[in-house]
Amino acid sequence: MYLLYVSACVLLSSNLLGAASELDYDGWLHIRLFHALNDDPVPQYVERGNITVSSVRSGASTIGQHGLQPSQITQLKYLAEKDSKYRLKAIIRSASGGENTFLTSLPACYLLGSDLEDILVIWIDSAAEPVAVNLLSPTGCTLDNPFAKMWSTSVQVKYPESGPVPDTASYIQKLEREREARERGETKDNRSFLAKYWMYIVPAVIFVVLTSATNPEAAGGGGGGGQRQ
Amino acid sequence: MAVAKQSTKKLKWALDFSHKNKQEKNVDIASPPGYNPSVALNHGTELMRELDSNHLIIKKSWDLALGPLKQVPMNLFIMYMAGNSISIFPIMMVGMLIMRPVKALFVLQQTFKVIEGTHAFGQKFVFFLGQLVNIALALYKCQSMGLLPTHASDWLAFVEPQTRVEYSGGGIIYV
Amino acid sequence: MLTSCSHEITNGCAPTVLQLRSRVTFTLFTVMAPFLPSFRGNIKRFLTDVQLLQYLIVLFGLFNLSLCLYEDQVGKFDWRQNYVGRIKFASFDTVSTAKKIIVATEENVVAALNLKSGQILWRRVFERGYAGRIHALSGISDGDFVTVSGGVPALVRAWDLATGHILHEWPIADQNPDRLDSPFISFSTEGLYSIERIEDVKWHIKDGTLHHILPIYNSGIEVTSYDSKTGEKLNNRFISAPFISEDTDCILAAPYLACLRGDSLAVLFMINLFDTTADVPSPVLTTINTIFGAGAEGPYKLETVLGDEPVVSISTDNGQRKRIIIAGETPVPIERDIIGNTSLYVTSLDKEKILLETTYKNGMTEVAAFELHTSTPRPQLSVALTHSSVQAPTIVASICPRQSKGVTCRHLLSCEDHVIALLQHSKLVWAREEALAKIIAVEIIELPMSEGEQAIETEFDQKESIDVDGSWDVFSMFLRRICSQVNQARALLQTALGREPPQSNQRADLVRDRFGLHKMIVVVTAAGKLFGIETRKGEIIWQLTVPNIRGLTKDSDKMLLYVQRGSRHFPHSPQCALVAADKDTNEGIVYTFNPITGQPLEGLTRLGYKIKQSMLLHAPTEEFLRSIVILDARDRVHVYPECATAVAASVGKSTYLFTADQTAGVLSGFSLAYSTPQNLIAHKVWEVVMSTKNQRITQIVSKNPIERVHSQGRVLGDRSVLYKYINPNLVAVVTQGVGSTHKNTLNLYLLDVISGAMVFSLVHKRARGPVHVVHSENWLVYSYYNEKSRRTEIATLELYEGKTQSNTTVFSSLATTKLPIVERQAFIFPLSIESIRETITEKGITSKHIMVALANGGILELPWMLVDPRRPTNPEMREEGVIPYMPEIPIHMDAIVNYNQSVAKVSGIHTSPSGLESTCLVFVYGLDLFYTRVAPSKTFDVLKEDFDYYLIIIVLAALVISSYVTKKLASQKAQKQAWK
Repeated sequence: MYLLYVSACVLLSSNLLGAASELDYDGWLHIRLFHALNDDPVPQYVERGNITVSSVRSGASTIGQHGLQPSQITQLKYLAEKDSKYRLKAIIRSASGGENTFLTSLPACYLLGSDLEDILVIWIDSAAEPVAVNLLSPTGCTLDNPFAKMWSTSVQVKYPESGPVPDTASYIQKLEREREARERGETKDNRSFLAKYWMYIVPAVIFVVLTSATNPEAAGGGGGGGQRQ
Repeated sequence: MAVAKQSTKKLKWALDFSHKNKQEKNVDIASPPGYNPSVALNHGTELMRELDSNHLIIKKSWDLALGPLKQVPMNLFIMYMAGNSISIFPIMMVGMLIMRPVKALFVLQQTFKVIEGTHAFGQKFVFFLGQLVNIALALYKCQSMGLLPTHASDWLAFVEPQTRVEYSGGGIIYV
Repeated sequence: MLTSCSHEITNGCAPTVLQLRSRVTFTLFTVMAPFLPSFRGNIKRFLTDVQLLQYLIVLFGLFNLSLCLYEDQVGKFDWRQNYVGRIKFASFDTVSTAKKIIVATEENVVAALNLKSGQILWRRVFERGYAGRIHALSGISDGDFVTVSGGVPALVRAWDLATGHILHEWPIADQNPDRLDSPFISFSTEGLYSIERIEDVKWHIKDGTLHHILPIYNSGIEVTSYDSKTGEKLNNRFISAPFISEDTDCILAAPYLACLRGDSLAVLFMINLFDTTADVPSPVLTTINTIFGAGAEGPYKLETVLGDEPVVSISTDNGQRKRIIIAGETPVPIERDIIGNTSLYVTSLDKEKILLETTYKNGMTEVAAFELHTSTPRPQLSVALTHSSVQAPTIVASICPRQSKGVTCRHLLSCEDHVIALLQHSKLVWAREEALAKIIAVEIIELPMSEGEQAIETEFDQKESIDVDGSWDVFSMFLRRICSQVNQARALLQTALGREPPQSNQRADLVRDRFGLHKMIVVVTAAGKLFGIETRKGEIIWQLTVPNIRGLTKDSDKMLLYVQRGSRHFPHSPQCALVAADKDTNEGIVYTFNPITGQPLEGLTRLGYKIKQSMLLHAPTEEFLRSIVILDARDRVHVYPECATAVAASVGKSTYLFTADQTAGVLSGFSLAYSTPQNLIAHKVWEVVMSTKNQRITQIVSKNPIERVHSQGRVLGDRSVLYKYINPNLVAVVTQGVGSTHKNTLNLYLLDVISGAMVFSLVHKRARGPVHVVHSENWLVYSYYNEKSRRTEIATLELYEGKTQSNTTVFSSLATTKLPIVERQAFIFPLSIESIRETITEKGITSKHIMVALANGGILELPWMLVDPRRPTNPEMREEGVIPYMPEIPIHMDAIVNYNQSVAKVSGIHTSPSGLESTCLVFVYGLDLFYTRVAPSKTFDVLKEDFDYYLIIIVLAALVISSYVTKKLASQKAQKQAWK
């Protein structure tokens, strides 16, 4: 029983907005997917489907995949029980005409855990050439039978972010601001000590005078205290 | 107090005597010659004094019980003045704010022993509550000063490093 | 211990501020109580001012955080050794009064060595790599000499003999604008010739004239002469020699150029280059048969015989034998067979020319002297020498002056293992271990415990094993205790009676000290020689020459050194393994040895396959030996030693190996999950392709496997925690763009090598290498050259999991799907960087510093805090212990750990934890060696060296005594009072 399932989705990867400028060219990718469900060092790849990313910048993609046959699900379960890996081969043809083969794998139990829902992340370099394909599962590991027989794959395209550069401009601005603030502060605050702090000194003096008036003996001490502050 | 003052003015000698009697029961002072205590005891004043001292005890015990609550505004003021910076004086103040009520709670029984006889359960409870309020205030102060380990960062030193599951090696090939 | 100058400043100031603040608060509070509400704001302002001041002080303190030495501490914790490298050219200085030897080496160094001691009198280091390669060294004449170095243009430099000061310098190309018009150099460019052809260029300096000799294929030889001092062009000659082609082998035996052409019927051409009498000098032909007679078989190899006469040698029969030809008007072949591996030198004694034949056999060096023309043996000049440090030497310079006592010949020898030695009268005057100028791999190994401690260790070790068994027995324990104590007593008695205990083969001072600061540095050099150097004084404890090995790759000397077993597993001896390739077959070899004594353990093991990649297995065998997993060129996995296969297979599920192919741009990950105890099987689990059209992998940097991270997160300003993303399997892949459009881009990928998952990628436009990367904990620091701003920059990346940890107990790369948060920042670095490395400590509690080797010879200790990517650009976003952002990293001279002991051409820095948590050992290697120790967070776990123990003891004792006395007095007084 072969199902053919075609979906079109537009996914914006999380880093897309910040680094869009780092991509020199837009391009498309055509990905053919093969997977191996055998538990052996030598993989036997069978076709899983294909994906077309029409624009790497927007990440818009069309996915067409075959569903899993019951025997394949049994194989997948066996892989999961043996704590082995589900291997995926992606042959990507890019706009520049080159074709590269990528390999990725995932412990099979993660696919069961996510109910055949997976995320395919395609990393591209600044020239829009693919550098890596990663298969991720959004959830944890189980050994239960999956409910679904169909892959529900989402495709993400990630590209390099721009490297940091020394932030000289804002630092110079900051220095400018500080200098201005200092100048302003200097012009405002060049009054005399008395002019600035009279509101504290006057009550203190009154306080001292009052205490010395009521208690003439302590006058000397009180006066001294007043001067001290 | 006003009542007590009036009575002291009226019966100065009697009150003096009774006070002495009350506080130093054991001290046996010889009666003045010709003095008969049974004659001298006035029934009316006796009752009044009894009432008076009861009243006084209750009064005193309530004073005692409400003491901690009365301290709250003062504590609040001290707390406000101490500021939130961590330096020796604010720390000392906060320490005092905590230590005082805790100590007071420990010596609660002794404090209320002064008020003899009466169990004064309500007063004790109010006193207790007041001290709790003070402790809460001090804790709040600690919290606002950041002295309580309530954040994740306070427990960071106890977080164990994650153990490694997989091991890897390799690099650029040699051939 | 190490004392920091700044320590007093910071620690002195912080309490003052604290007190000041509280005192001010208190005074204001008491005096100004009635007016407080209006004051509140002002106090606050005042407090913030004080706080600011405090921040400033802290900031100021941070800059001075790194250690600096007091004058009397110079050389106490550090040492430096200077080297020159393997000799290329050498010449005795017979002119000046202070006799010396001038050497030019393969490390692009010109130096003068003391004739008597071999010490470096002066040394000049040329440019790195091709730009500084020395092509010619002139003879010494009136107090100066000339070198020719570099590529395009070549630089001619005249040097003062006594001081090593440069006298003149001129480039060859710039002086010759007319060269382009020269009809002879059809292929030449502005820079004269391409890099490949430059090897064909010969240089000859004689009598103040520099001759630049350029053979041109199928045409002739162009000889351009310059005044070597001024650079003035004297003349330009073209000598027709149409026999020169790509497969002619030409050598210069001044004034002749000798070329050998053809394989089986080889013909030797000799042409006088400087003969100005003949208008067209014609080459003289000699057939191979006239040299060897009939029956000689090719391939032939032509070599110049060094020395004072134009003599060439031709070897035949696969280098089995050779003969010499004396060049002249008519070449004179000497009909005497010389053994193929003999090295030849022609020296002169009075007017006589003497041929010195040096042979090395079974540890014995023999120099046989013959009269050049007549082959008469000269036994009085022949010498024989047996010395351990002279192995397979060749004479690179020799003089035989006649003195009153007779003839004293001095030969400067350059050995196969890069040793330079001076031989005089069959006596070795001195030898220099120049192999150390080119170190490939370094490990710092803990010394074993002293024998007494080892005995105790055994006792406890056995106890542990018994504990495990469950048959714990008090009586046997007691017996063992008694035994060991009797042994100790016996040893004590023996030493007391003056009888030496049986000596072990290790030196008494080579034992672990209390703080684990005394260690052994094991180095592997490009010459295939291993050294054991102790850290206290830098003394070479042992040396080992592994015969016939080479680097694993073709173009680099890459060799690997693995510590299979440390010194902590007594009675098992520590074990190191050197992984390299066989010189002849290129197949892998493993050589195991004891790193403390330098004794070979299992010796050389030939693996019989080429090594593609290797790693040290994390799981030890029962003998605590960590095995080496090797991937061969056909992707099969092997384990060394083979008996550890079962151990490797048992951890196969969790063991991964990755390879990166630079030429194909492919990175592949292999898992050993399908291994059986008999056979290891690797299967590919991921593959990543860095398309070679756009980029080339230049570097792959993984973390130090022994690193431990103490703090799992970082406290933010709001007291929440940002958890670190500490992935031990993360590697940084650096690629440099290729092709016209991407040439100046620098890409950096963070890749998890277990799952093959890309974690982060980054691109720097208009940037180029050299890239130096440090990858540690959850951060990455790298330096690159910014083409746009023309400066070196340092960028930092820091990875965080977020405010929560996905798994608090274990880290599995396969289970991690969430990408980390990446913080980044870049800084201007005002100096050029040679190499960088992070400090490492035992538990990872001490903060990290970055050791930066600067091009000016300094080693800078840069606090990581200064390159923290979370340094806020906005002053309001202040966090604890984070300095506000400044674009330029200040270089403080206090932070140069090697003060005035400059180190040249640093190729690497090795750091190692010591037994003290605070202290990290640093070993810098390159042309020079430098060792020191640093304490990034100051020596918080050791009392200062000047700690006053006596004062403390006296004060404590006085207090105790006085308290007793007063107690007594008080009780007496109380008694008296009671009686009153």
